[in-house]
Amino acid sequence: METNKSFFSQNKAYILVSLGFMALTYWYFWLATIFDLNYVYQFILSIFQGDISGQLVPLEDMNRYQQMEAGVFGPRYDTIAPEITRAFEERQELLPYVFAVEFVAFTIAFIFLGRKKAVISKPDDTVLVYSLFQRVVLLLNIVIMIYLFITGFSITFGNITGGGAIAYFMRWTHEIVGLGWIPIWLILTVIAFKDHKFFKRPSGKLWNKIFLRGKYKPMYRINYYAYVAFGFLLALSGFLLWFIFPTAENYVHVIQFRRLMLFMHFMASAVISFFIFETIYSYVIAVKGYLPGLITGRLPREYLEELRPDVLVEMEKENN
Amino acid sequence: MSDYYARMKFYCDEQRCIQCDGCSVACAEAHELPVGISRRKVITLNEGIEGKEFSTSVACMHCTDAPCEQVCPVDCFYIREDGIVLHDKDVCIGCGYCLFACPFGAPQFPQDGAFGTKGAMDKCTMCAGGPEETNSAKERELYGQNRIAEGKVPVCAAMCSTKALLVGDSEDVSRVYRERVAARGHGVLSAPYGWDTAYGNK
Ligand code: HEM
Ligand code: SF4
Ligand code: SF4
Repeated sequence: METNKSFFSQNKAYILVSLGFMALTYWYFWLATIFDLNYVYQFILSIFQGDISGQLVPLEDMNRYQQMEAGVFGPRYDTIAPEITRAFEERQELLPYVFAVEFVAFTIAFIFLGRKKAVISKPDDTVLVYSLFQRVVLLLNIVIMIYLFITGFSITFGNITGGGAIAYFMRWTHEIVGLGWIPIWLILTVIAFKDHKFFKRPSGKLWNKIFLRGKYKPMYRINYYAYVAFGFLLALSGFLLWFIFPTAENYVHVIQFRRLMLFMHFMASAVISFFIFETIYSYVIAVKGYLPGLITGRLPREYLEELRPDVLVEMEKENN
Repeated sequence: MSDYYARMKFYCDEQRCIQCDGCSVACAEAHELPVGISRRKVITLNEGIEGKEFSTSVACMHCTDAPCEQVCPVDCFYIREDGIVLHDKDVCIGCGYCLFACPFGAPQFPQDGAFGTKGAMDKCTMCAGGPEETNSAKERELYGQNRIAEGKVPVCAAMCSTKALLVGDSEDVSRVYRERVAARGHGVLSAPYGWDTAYGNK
């Protein structure tokens, strides 16, 4: 182990990702400036107390005119809704820049880091790294995430699709495929939990087929945490948007909540897009030969010795 | 007819509305709306509290600078010269953004997609049909009657027995409103309720 590495080079992944996050957070706050932030804060508190209506002042305390406004048309419109109107255009304009920056970042990573390649002299000497169950979960996860990414942003960029039957199909399948992703998200969150400090992995043959092996490098650990956190926000807000079907009867009680959920869903989807790119990059581009391994479940022993010794170490422990 | 109507607006006088639901039933019948869609609804507040109970009827207000039109990601709205806000169901993707943006909760969604997802949006057309050929079978099926093209008043207001619900050119509706407020001899003479939000000062 080298000991004279600088702080920056040791924590490069964490630092760069945090900087990216700060820029994104700044953007969101700027987008959200049209919110009545105090109202939104009080609203969120009231949600935790079990009232999702967003009607913070009781109707009894209002005059007739205000009652009419709140009772018929829902809680204060100008606190949240104009964000939807204004920022909708802005995110159509600004998101392409976010995606472009992400694309450039990965291109630069590729130029500087290149494609890792293991020297393989005995391609037939392979080790079974991923069980069928793990392969199904990992591959389904990435395929579904790509589909949700495309169909989700097909709504945001509806001006490009122009609407019509195909765009309509993509929109409703987004909802249904999204529902299907929730269990996949949950399973992956559990089986990829590798920081064992707080968690003792049960030992035994069955568990080895379920939990993923190996240790995280910084970038993968960040990727995993972001996947867990933003996946949770996406799954929760997406599920609620689908579950609380808008009707004439529930309008007054749920509209403000649905507006908040949409904003949350959109925010989380813009953030997770970075990690979707990162996952694709690491599956397909960063290391030669990883994707076939993921499909068959087997990787050459030399590949593991050179690039993933942590996996071999763990497998040896399992056998003892 | 749209030459005559300069700027079409709705107004419901909550002091006259008797909660008979005639407007929303007439609307649903005239346009043969599917179950679950109510383009117009009557809402009662302070139910059972004596002296404070009142009702009012709401549908799409056909806003100036309509927020729904501004957010629709696929731009399927169009606004007629007389101010009526309409949309194209063949283009709509049923995303529901118009409902997030609408101050009046007007857009409605049939639950007819697979697994109970949203179908194409439906809302009050002020009985002016849609983008299809006027009075064609397709227009009728998708958007209901086109009474405006026939020179008739929208069915909800035509049905209203107490004339609480008014529709027509904004000048005419405002005049009736002013006369009513003056005749009652109390109340502040501001714009009719909802007009600030829907029309600004236009
Ligand atoms: C990788 C995960 C996901 C991504 C990247 C994603 C992305 C998006 C995006 C970009 C939008 C449009 C937001 C906007 O422009 O304001 C959207 C809308 C939506 N998403 Fe997701 N989403 C994901 C997961 C889910 C899940 C798990 C569900 C659960 C059912 C879901 C349900 C919805 C719903 C209901 C909408 C609103 C549009 C509609 O009602 O059809 N999404 N999503
Ligand atoms: S009332 Fe709602 S649906 Fe009607 S024009 Fe205004 S924003 Fe659009
Ligand atoms: S539901 Fe239809 S009309 Fe409403 S915003 Fe979406 S595409 Fe436009």
